[in-house]
Amino acid sequence: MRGNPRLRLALVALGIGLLGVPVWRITQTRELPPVVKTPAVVEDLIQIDLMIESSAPCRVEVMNANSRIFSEEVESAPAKTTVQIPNVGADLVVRATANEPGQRFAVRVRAGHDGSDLVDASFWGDGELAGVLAVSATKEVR
Amino acid sequence: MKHLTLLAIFWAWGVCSALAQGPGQGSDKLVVASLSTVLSDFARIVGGDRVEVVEILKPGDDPHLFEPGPVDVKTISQSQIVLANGLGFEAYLEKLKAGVGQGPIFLVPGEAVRPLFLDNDHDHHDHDHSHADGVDPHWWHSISNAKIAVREIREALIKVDPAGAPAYQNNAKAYLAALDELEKECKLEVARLPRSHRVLVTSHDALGYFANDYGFTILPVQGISTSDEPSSQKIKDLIGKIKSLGVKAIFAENIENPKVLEELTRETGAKIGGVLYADGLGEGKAATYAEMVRHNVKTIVGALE
Repeated sequence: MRGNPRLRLALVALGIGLLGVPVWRITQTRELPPVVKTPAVVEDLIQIDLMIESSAPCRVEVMNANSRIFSEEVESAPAKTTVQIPNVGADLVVRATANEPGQRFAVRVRAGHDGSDLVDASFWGDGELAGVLAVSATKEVR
Repeated sequence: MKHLTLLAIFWAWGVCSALAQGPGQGSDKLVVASLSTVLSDFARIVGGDRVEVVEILKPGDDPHLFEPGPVDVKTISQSQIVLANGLGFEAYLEKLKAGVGQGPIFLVPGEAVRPLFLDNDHDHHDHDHSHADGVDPHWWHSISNAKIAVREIREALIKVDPAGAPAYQNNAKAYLAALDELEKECKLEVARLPRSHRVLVTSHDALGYFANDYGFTILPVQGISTSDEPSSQKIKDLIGKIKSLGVKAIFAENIENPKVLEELTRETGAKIGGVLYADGLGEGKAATYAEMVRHNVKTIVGALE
């Protein structure tokens, strides 16, 4: 190989560089964009007002699917909250534990939307109670 | 030696007479022959010690393919009450009644429930009128219907054996209370599923009453009977529906070949959610009605959650 040794060295370095760049890019692990899990069916949500009363002091918990949407001590005054549910409706699980163990008590739950009542149900228990409140955005289903 | 010979003769006589005897003979128990594993369970619970339940159809048998043989007909004719699901579930029932004659009382709780009718696409609808054509006969998947059946069995037992009335009433009362609790337990369990997830893809169209009670949509692979074969167009349509609804799991049954379901899982990415007991009780974990209901509900909710 003829020519200036410096020029030859530069050409070899350039060759290695040109080959190296794609090799380097291939071997680099790139961080992938996070996988976005889309829900099976995209649901529209509506807001509903819940009013919860109890015949005796107790702790009330309301779950929508597996999410807790309300958890409070309820005493003489009714508790109120606003929650979001799918517009196709939801089955809310109401659980309550009386402050006094074994006491016979009742919890009344009312759900409304835009000023109209959707459902009104009472659950009874001794010390503890559990029930399902079926809420539909358009009509009373329970 | 003489004693041994006599002993052998008595033993042989005992074995022969035991084989010749029909159900309940030699005891004062009321004999109930059952063509349904679910009704066998109810009859055992309500009847208690006063009743001998003879299972003509056994857990795990496919009732859609079952027909009683000559031995079964003889057993049935020697019983006092015969239990059948009705609503066309036992296609041989009228023939059997004619063959058995006037002997036993036939109790068919399906005739006392409010039936669900199927349209051409096998979707379920409520109707007030009753006939077996196009009716879903799997009524026991509604616990409310199970309670009707328990009351019917109680009344039939009292009619045939009035002396046992207090026992039958007490047993039925306790069991009806247990069914109330079971119903509540199922409601709480199903409430864990958002309504949009309540889509059931099952081997055959047997869970309509369950779907009606708990707000599920059913996409069956087969028709109402396990002998119905799905067409390739139906499978193609089903794959489209499963994909568009984003169904997470599809379910097999305890008594059939889940080959088609496996094909569906391959095509759609849904998983096999587990085995359901659709046509009656199984052995082991679904050996009673309450265990069967719990198993089905937990399997469905666990897979679709």
